[in-house]
Amino acid sequence: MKRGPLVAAAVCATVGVLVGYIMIPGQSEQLAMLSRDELPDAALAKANALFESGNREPAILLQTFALNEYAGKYDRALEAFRTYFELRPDDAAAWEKAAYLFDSQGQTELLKSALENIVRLTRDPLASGRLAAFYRLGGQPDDEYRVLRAVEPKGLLPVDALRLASLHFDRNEVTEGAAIIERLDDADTNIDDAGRIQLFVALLELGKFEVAVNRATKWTKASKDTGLQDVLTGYLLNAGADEAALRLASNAQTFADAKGFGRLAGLLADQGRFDLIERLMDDWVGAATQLPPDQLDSYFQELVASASGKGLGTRLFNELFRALGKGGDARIEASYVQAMYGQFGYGGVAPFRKMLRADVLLARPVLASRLMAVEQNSLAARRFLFVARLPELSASAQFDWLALAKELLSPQELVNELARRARSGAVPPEIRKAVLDAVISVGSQPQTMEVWRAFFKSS
Amino acid sequence: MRIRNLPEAAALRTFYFLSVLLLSLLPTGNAHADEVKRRILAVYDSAFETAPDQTLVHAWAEMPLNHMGYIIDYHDAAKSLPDPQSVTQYAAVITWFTYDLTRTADYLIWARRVADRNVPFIVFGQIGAPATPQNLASVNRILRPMGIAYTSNFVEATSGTRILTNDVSVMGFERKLERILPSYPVIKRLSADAGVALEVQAPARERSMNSALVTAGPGGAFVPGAFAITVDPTLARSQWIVNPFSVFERVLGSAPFPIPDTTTVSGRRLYFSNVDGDGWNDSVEMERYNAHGMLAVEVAEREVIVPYPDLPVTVGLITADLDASYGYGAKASEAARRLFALPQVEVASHSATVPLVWADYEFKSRTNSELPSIAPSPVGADSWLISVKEALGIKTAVVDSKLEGEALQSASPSQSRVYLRDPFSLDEEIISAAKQTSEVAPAGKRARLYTWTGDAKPFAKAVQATRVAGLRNINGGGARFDSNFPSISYVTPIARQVGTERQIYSVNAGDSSFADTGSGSLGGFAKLFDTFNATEIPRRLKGAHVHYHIYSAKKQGSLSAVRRLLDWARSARLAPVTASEYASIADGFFTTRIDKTGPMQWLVTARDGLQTVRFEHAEALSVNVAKSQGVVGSTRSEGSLYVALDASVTDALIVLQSAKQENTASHVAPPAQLEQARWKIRDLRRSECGFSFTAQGFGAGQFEWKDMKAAAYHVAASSKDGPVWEVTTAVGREGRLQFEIPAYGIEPLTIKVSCATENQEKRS
Repeated sequence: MKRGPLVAAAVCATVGVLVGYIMIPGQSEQLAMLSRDELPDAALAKANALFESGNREPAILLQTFALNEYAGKYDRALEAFRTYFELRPDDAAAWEKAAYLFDSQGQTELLKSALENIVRLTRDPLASGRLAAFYRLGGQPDDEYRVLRAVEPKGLLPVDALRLASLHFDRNEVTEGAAIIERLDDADTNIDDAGRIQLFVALLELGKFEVAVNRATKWTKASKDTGLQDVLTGYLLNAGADEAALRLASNAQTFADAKGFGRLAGLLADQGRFDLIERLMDDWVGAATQLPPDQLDSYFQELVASASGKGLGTRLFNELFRALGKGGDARIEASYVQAMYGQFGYGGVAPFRKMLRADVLLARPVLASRLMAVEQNSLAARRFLFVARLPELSASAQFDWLALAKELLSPQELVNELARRARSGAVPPEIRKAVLDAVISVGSQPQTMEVWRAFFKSS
Repeated sequence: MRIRNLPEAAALRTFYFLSVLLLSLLPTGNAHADEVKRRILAVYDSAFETAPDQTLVHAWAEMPLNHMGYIIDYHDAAKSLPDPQSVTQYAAVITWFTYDLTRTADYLIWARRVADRNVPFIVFGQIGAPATPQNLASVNRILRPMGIAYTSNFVEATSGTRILTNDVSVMGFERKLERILPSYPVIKRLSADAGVALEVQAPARERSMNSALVTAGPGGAFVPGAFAITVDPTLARSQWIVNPFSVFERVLGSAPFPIPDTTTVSGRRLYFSNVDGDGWNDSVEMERYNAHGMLAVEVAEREVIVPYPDLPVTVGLITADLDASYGYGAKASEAARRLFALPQVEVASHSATVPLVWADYEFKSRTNSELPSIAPSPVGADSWLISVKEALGIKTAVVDSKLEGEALQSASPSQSRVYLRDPFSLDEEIISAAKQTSEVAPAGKRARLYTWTGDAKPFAKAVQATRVAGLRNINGGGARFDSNFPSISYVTPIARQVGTERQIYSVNAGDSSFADTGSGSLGGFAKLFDTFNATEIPRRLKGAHVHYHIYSAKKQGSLSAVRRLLDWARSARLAPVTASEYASIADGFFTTRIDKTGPMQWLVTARDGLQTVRFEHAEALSVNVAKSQGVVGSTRSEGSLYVALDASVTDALIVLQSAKQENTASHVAPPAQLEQARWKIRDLRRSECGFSFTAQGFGAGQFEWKDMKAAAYHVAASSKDGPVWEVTTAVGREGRLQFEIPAYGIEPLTIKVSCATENQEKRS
């Protein structure tokens, strides 16, 4: 009998047995198969049986945890998890899975523990931020600081980075805190004003005035809101950095915008820094004189109204007048006086009334006439009234003039003056109807006809 | 009748006038009664906060005020402001603005006039107007009674701020002040006795100005938003910095008055449970039930309803779930009939078609345009498997997510109801649904409650429809207070004002609120224990409420969570009531009128279902039962005195005395009174030796009476069919009588406690 076939058969049988043995699914695979086949009760029973029999295979422990957790058997689930992590405390993926499950169960303490391990193993900034938030919620700033510092600051979300900066500042670690916000600012992260202010103050504390002003200038130029500029300027002033304060305050935006200038002047006045107002004025007058007359009027009106709205004192207005006077431009001074009179009446002008030069008064004869009338100097009032040239006045000033003429002149004088101006063609079209009405109401028919004909001729 | 004789008519008129005059001068039962002011006016601007339930007052301030007995009336300043004189009926005005009002000038004028009438303002957040020089005078007229004045200064960079005053009874309630404060306004303290709880000195860079940041006193309160509550930017969780109870108490006063209490029945914390019908016909995932094709409702019946006959549960039926035209079989109806026949089950309606977004139906009925949005979910019952497989790290075959996604996308945006066969009709949704639900119930039972569906934000007409249908209503809101929501700011008020109606909120958050981040197993519902504990100690803010859905029976995890909660309720010292009874208690909170009729005595009327009042800080007080009327008993918890009233006594008179007085007057034995019971008690009649009462409740009837004379007593319970149970027991010198009636109390029993000797004499 040949032995070859027998050996072959034996080998085949052995191989078959071996292959069969190898192919028997492991316990873990059996659990997975039960789950896959929608037999969770059987899977749970088997997992628990394995656990109770002392099986500590990591994959089975994880399955035991998941199946028990899903079935609401939390004690066993946690037991399995704890056992697993005793065996593999550094399995970051398992900790992440644990964190997810604890999160979905609202198991905050366990979630914090899982996050601690994730941060320890992976330095994951998101996990760090989340864990820090839980510590914040629990009023544990030291733990919050520790976990935020455990990861690379660059990786932190801006909100967490800003928080870490705050915690540094709280510990007088000004350099570290400032560095974090500077990094965010350099990366063009949109930092809110609170963060910017923190950085600015920190830079001042570090004596980096130049850097602070440069950053602040960048922020304020990019923003329409002037509140931040005011706050930062105030800090510079309080820090004794007057030059830096003025540099930050006197950017071009401020001069182009009457409200902005009024606000800044108010800020300085509020701090009692009239010396700086004076300096600021010199620069400002130069810029203001470049404005055309009509814009100059509305600029002053807005400035005065804005400063008045802020409840600023008369000293600021006097300073403004004084600064304008230094320029020697009667047109500008007169425009300012007009705005003051418009806002406050005679009381607004009274403090510097005696300082008004003749050329300033002549630049606004109707206003001058009005001031004289209030002062009961009717002679001078009438004089300014007569010298006023209606075509050179704004429309509103023309009507002011006519109203004033009715007050200051007798009916006959009024008719004569109106007729004289009509004959010389010096009554602008805008006011002719009002002039004619005035003549009709107080003059004779021939006088009326005379004015009428003069208007007809000149048109 | 026409009076012809004119002089006679004049005489009659005179007589009538004099009669009315005399009658009005006659003393009445409560001749010197002063109604306790329990209403607070909340002003908001609908341009920024669209409705009362969207306001911060509702979100954060209303619950503590409710707890202290106060009702909030909301008024939209964008539309009008009430007559300042009418505001004197309120105990205070509360605002929580994060904005400047649309009609700033009108508001300031109005507020000045109200302040001039000595109505205190409780201002959280912003004043409601910019602090311009023009506004400051008006703003400070409001703040002057508080002893503070607003300025236009603001401290932005706060590091280096020095804390001058930090009253720990007000500050650091749930969250301590951060070492670096948020930016703050500069508020001047005007008087030394202003109730300033937090005062700081700004750093030198801010000119070292002092600022009274938190002030609360009889003149009112002002708490800038950042010092009231902090909201974490990462977790979006809010926590109180100030103690709202303390702030409100400083303004509203701490003098005792009977606070209508919605947490306690018969001296015990109340318990109720309601299950919404959603998921009624769903298949379940557990093999042992799935193999038999059992519906979720059948599993719920078997696992969490039938095994708990001692715990009432209110089942809200969706009538479409029984509708054959939606493809549902007889099993669904049979389950409903079986459930409603159970004695512990209360019948409720959970709508006809499950509106999901109620506001969509406020002004117009949806029509057939809703029909295309019906889409079946291809995932169904396989979701559990996917979850477990994911947890195990097993890759699964990818479901055709594109198909699924498209189907859901076409469905979700316009889907405002679940069942869309018929156009929406409010009558069908409420009145007909309740009627049809009642038809499924056995004789003698009918739907008593309407449980809101979907977003649970019904419009006023919908709430009104439930009232018209004779139903109480509930759902929406719901407290959560645990490590994930660590604040009373997540404990919701009693109700939501909607137009002139009130929707009663759930007491606790339901199962669906516990799938916080995603696994969707709802197993986290067991975490409700934390809320139970946190709303009991240090102050009982809420009763215990287990609110879940039938779909919780689909998964083992969620089912186990419900069972754990019910097991706890079964063993805890609670007073179980039905959900509609709770709703009547909550309604009673708003109707109850309290009149102070003398020093330490009050008349409590119009209570609806509410039969417990609470006195705060009552360690030194006790009830003078002999002088009171309609008082069943009293018990103490966490420094509060809970007084149980008799529902059969319409006008309950509560007379308090000092506890010391009670002890020293021991020569006169006080009448027996209830300490606590599991069942509700009414018709209490005290006799020379003993008393009788009617009781009704769930589970064994546990009773504890106090102030009993030491003697042997015979206790007997009888139903309308005759004697049920009796016992003879002795009361010792401690004067306490405890007994437990092992009988069904769902139908009221009459219980008589009498001296054993007296009883023997009668028998003989």
